[in-house]
Amino acid sequence: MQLSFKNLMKSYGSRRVLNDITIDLPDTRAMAVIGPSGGGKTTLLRTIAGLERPDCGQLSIDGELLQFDDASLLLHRRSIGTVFQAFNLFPHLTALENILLPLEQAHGYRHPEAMEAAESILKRFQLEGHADKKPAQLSGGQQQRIAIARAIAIKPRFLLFDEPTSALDPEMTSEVLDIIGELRDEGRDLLLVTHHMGFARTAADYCLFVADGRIVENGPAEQLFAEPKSKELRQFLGRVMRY
Amino acid sequence: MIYLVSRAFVALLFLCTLAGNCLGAVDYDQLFRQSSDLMALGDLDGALTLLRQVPTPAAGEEAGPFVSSRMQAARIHAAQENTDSAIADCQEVLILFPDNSEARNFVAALRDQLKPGWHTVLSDTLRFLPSLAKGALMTLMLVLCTMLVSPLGGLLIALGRISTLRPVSGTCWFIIWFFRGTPLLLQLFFIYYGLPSLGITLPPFTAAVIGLGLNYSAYLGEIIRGAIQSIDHGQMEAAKAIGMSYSQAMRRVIIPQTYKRLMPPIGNEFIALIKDTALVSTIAMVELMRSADQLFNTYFNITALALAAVIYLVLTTIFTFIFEKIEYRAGIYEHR
Repeated sequence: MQLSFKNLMKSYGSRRVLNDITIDLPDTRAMAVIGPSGGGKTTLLRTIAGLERPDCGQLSIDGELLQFDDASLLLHRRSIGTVFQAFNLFPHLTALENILLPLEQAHGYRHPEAMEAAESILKRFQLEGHADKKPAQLSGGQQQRIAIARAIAIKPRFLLFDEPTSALDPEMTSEVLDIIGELRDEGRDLLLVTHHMGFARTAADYCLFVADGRIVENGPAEQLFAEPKSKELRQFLGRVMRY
Repeated sequence: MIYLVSRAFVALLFLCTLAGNCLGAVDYDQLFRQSSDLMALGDLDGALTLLRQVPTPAAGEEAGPFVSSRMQAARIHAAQENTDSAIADCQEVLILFPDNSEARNFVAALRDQLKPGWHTVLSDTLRFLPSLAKGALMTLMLVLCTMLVSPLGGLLIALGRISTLRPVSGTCWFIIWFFRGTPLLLQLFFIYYGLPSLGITLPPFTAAVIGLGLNYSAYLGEIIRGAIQSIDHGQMEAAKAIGMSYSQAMRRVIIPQTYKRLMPPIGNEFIALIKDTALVSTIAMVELMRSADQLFNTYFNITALALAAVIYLVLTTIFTFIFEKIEYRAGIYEHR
C-alpha cells in the first residue's frame, strides 16, 4: 500500500484537524499511526477509509487519485476493510449475519457463496460456536474479532484499524492484537491507528507520528522509536513510555 | 208572560242543579281539593283516606272521579315506595276499564321498578349492543386503515426531514408544522366540507382516513426521525464502511434498530388514535361515538354512553397488550 497526500486539509468548524498534509510515503505492508489524542490520526484514517471528505487537497492510494464524489467513495469503501474502536457491529443481527450482510448487500454474493465465505472465516478465528449469537451476547474481544472477520470477508485491498483495542481490557486486547499480527504475517496490507507503542514498534514496518494535524515524523517503525528526531515525538514517547 | 215563564224555568233549573250538587253523596271537587291540601301539608295517609271515599261507580254512572281518585292514590303509594298498593290501586281501575292506558302504563312502569337494577342495565345493554358493535367495527376499520397509512407516511416524512436536499426537508418540515399545529377536527372539516368547493368530493370514510392519516403521519414522522437519529452514529459509519449505500444502510441497519424504541411512542399515538376517531362522527361517519350519541339522544339512556366507554377501553386495552408484545419482540436482540 502506497499513500500520497497533497495539501490535504480538513476542519471541523474553526478547528483544523488536518493541516496541509503533503507527503509521498514509501510502499509499505503494515503501517502504524501514533500520536496524541486529537492530533488528527483518526481523521487521517477516516479520510483514507473514504468516510470523510477533505476540505481540499488530494489523496492517492497506490498511485490512484481518490475522487470524493458519492459514487466513487462508495466503490472505494467496498474495496477496503475498516475496523472501528467501538466495533460497530450491528446489534440486531447475529455474528454470522453481520458477516453476511456486506457480502450479500454490497458485493453481490449469492447466499450459499456468502455462507461459505462467512463460515470459513468464523472457523479460522475459532468463532464458529458464536455464529448465531447477537453482539450483546459476546465479549468485547469476541465482538472485535467478529468485526475483523466482517472486514476481511470481502477480500479487501487493505485493512484499516482505528484504535481497535482501545475499548478492550488487556486480555482481550492481546486476543485482538494476535489476530492483527497474524494478518500481517499473511502479507495483508494494513494501516493501524494505535496507542500500543510496543505493538506498533514490533508489528508495523513503517510508522507515522501525527500531531497537530500534520505528519510530524515518519520512518521505519524500529528507527522511529529508537531515534526520534523531532522534539514533539521525543516528548510524546517520553510521556507514553513513562509507565 | 212567556218571558216570565221562561225566566222561572231557568231559575228552577238552577235550583235543581244546586240541590243535586248538595244532595249528591259527596262533592268530589271539594274532596280532591282537600286531599291536595293534605298532600301539600305532607299528610299522605290522610289524603289517601279521603281519596278512598270515592266509591266504585255503578254501571252507567259517571266514572271520572273514581278513576282520578285511584290513579292519584296509586301515585301517592308509588311515592311512598309501596309498589304493591300502587299496583292494587291501578288494578281497581283496570277491572272496570281494562283499556285505560294511563293505568296500564303505570302498572308496567311499577313492575319495571320491582325488577332489580342489573336487569334493566342488562336489557338496555342487549338492546344497544348490536348498533354499538356496528359502530365499534367502523371505529376499528378507521384505526386499522390509519395504522396502515400513517407509519408509511411518517417514515417518508422522517426520511425527508433528515434529507440534505433543502426543498425535501423544507416540505416535510412544513407538513409537520401544519398538521401538528392545527386541530384535527378542523382538518377533518376542511377535507370533508372544504374540499368539495375546490371540486374534490370525498366519501366520508375516505375523508376520515385521509385526515387521520395525514395528522398521524406528521406525529409519527417526528417520532421516527427521533428514533433514527438516536441510533449510534457508528452504525451508519460501519454500514458505509462495509460498502452499503445510504438506502441499504437505512433499510438493513438503521431502521430495523429503531423498532424497539419506536414502539412505546407509536403505541401511545395509536391509542390516542382510537379515541381521536370519535372526531370523525362530525363528518357523517357512523362509528362508535356517533352510535352511542344516537342511542343516547333517542332513549335518553346513559347506559349507551357507558357501554361506548367500555368498548373504547376494551379496544385500547387490546392495543396496549399487542404493543407490549411487539415491543418485547423488537428488542429481543438486547436480551442476553
